[in-house]
Amino acid sequence: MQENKDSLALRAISVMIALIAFILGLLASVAALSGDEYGRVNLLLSLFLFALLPAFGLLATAVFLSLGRRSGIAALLVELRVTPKRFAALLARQGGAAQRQRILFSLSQGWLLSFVAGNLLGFALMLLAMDISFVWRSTLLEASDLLPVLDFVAMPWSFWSAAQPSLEMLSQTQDFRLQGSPNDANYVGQWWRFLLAAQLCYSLSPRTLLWLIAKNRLTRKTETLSTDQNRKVSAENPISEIDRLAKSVTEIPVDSILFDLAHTPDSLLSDIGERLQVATIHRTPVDLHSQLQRVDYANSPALVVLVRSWEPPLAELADSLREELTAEQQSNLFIAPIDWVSAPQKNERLVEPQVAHTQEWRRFCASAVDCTHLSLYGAKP
Amino acid sequence: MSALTLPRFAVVGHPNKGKSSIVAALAQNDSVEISSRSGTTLQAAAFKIRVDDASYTLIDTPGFQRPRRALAWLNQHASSADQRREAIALFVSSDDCAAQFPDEVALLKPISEGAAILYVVDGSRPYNPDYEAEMEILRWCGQPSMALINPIESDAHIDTWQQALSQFFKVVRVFNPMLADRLRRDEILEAFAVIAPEWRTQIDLVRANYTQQDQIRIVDAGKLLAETLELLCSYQLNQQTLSKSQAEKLKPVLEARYFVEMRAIESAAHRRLKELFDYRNLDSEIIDLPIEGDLFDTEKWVVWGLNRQQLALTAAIAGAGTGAAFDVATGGSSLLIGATTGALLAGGGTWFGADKIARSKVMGLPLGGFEARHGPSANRNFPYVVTGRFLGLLEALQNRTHARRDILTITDSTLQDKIDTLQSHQRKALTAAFHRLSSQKVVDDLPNTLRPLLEAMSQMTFK
Ligand SMILES: Nc1nc2c(ncn2[C@@H]2O[C@H](COP(=O)(O)OP(=O)(O)OP(=O)(O)O)[C@@H](O)[C@H]2O)c(=O)[nH]1
Ligand SMILES: [Mg+2]
Repeated sequence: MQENKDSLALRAISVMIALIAFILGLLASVAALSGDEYGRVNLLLSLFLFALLPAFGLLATAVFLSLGRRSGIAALLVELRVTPKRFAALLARQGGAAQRQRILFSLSQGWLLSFVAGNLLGFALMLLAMDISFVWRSTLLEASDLLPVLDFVAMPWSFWSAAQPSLEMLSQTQDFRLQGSPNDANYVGQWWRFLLAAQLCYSLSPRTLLWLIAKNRLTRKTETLSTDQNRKVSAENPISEIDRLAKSVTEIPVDSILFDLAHTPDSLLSDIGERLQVATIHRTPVDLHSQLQRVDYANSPALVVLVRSWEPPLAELADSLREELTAEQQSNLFIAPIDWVSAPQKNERLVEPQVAHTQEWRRFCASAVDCTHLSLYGAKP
Repeated sequence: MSALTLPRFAVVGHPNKGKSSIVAALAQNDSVEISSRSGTTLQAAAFKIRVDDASYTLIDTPGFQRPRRALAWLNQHASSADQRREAIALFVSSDDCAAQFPDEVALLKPISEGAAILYVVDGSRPYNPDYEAEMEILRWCGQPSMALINPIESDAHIDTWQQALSQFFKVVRVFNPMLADRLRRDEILEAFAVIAPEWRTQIDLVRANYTQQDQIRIVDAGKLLAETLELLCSYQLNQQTLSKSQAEKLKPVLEARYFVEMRAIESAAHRRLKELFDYRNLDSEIIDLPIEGDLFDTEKWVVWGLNRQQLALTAAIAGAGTGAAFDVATGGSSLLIGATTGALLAGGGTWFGADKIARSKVMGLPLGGFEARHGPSANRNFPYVVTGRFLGLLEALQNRTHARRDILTITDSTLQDKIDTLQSHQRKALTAAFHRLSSQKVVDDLPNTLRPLLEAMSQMTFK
């Protein structure tokens, strides 16, 4: 939606600018090659346009890239007044700074490529339509001064001998106003190969390459960005099963047997014993198993086990109870989770166990052994 | 155990005493299963913690369920102290024990395979001798060990626990997984290196990398905030229509979509910030992003979305090109005359013809019409609001641990306090950047402009 539309608009604007660049390139070629009334074209000026300028441009690109600034001339354009305001706004919407730099770089390369293509087309048109004689003039330079420079420039296409400069060519195309006569037609036309090679080597191929690289990086990055956005976190919710909670009571039959597994303080334990009117109290925090074996509870109506509410029920307790008690005895078993506070200089008093703890024990009563939960807090003494 | 193996620690203890919470907090992993029910963790699960090029492993285990019976079994299989480790090895490999003591086998296995022991107890409840059986079993393992007191409800009984635990463990530390910040985590890592000196090199590397990670996170959070600010401050919806009245009818539709999409952008950024801090399952709530002012507008458009001036300029330059070709053909002497006339003719023609173009169609598609627009927000305050909310989340994440499972309520950070702590050039740069943002201009190097603010904030948090 928005993103698509933005990139379409951005493309439209950049195509427009590319068109302008293309036409500027064409014009530059035409202007440089149009020459005087004899069709004589300044070789040095052409050299400047077709070889030196692109070479400097490449150098500048390389320098900026190595400095880590990847925006190219497009960044300059954004700040210019004539640039459509829409362009800057569109650009600002394209992801982060890094993404924007990639876009700017790719745009810059695209525009430069258009300029170069315009250049080349202008060059070709002029060659087709006119008889151009390349000549050069200089007060200070001699043909022999110029040759090493041109040789250096022509190094990359040393395999194309027809496009190489020679001393002969240079001296034959040097133009002296006084001499007045047209130069040797054989030589004056030959320069075009050299200029064409310079354009191919310093403008067209490197810029095409850079443009392709920039485009490639941009599309790759855009893809990862959009997959990034599509990624969803899947929150895993713990499935809460419906709990089976044991029945809870506050009273038990009198004359029961009480086992204290909670290390209950003495005063509290005797309070509880009195309140429940139990027959006997066993302090058996360490080994319920053997204790249960020794106790004769055949005649007692019920068993009460005091536990610490905050300690989670262990499988060990369930094992002992299951092993030592018959099903009938289990149904007469009460588990009482208790919690208490101890105030200094005062007796401990019971406090209400936390709900989560009570639930935990009631689940235990229902699942591990089939017994009843006894709530001691809040029960009437 | 040797220096060549990577550090491994098994977190063991009674059920429901926060073992998994401690693993989650130390591993900074919010996918560790934690619940208020005991017996949540049923299998040992290894969490490899990679911090850059260093790593160590924490193993979450089920709690002891039959410590006394397991100890009785072990006593039957080892008559003297030198046979204890063998008895443990026998215990974890025996099928019989796996059936009888599934939890103990699961938790002792990683230890018998070389993991060090982290024994967890609850410091809010008194010590009692019921714990001695499991501590005895752990001692039999003969592995490096330390105890962690987790003050679940309070720190009422830490002292008595410390005394009891020091009989069994060389190192005893208090660690609250719900409040653990990076300093507390670092203390625990340091203690790991004390109990298992063979692993010190690796653990020290982990600690150093954690420090670096903190800095990287701040930098990344700055980049994310910059990206979000740029996106939100320039966000615009547009829809092209044929007539002005159609464009105006779109107002409520665009407005509603704009609000929804702006919020979606913000919550996506918040989600990425959470992920940056390794929160992948964290739900949060925040009051709606306030978007103020009438942001609706309509404008005429023609081909390619260019307006009249832009179109005329393009045509003029194209005209100049044609004119130049004409110049060349006529001998080149009148270069500029041809070009200029061409440009004027073409540009003028297009200027006056723009309306015509707008009304014509190419293969049934209109070449021009009206555009309804909503946004961008030009409110000067808007960047501050977005930043305050973002930093509010960042602050909350830094003050949270991965052991918590409650919903996070994000409140705005008090931005002004943080801006006040900046140096004046930083403050100026920030104000200028926010101003440019709210007027939809590109800001150079926004992440670096924001960074001092984020750094100031996290320093305040960690003080
Ligand atoms: N308030 C508070 N709650 C805690 C703390 N540590 C753990 N809890 C809570 O205690 C409960 C149990 O925590 P877990 O981490 O699942 O405990 P565990 O030892 O892994 O439990 P099992 O896997 O069942 O053996 C959870 O509800 C935690 O939120 C703490 O320091 N403070
Ligand atoms: Mg657990």
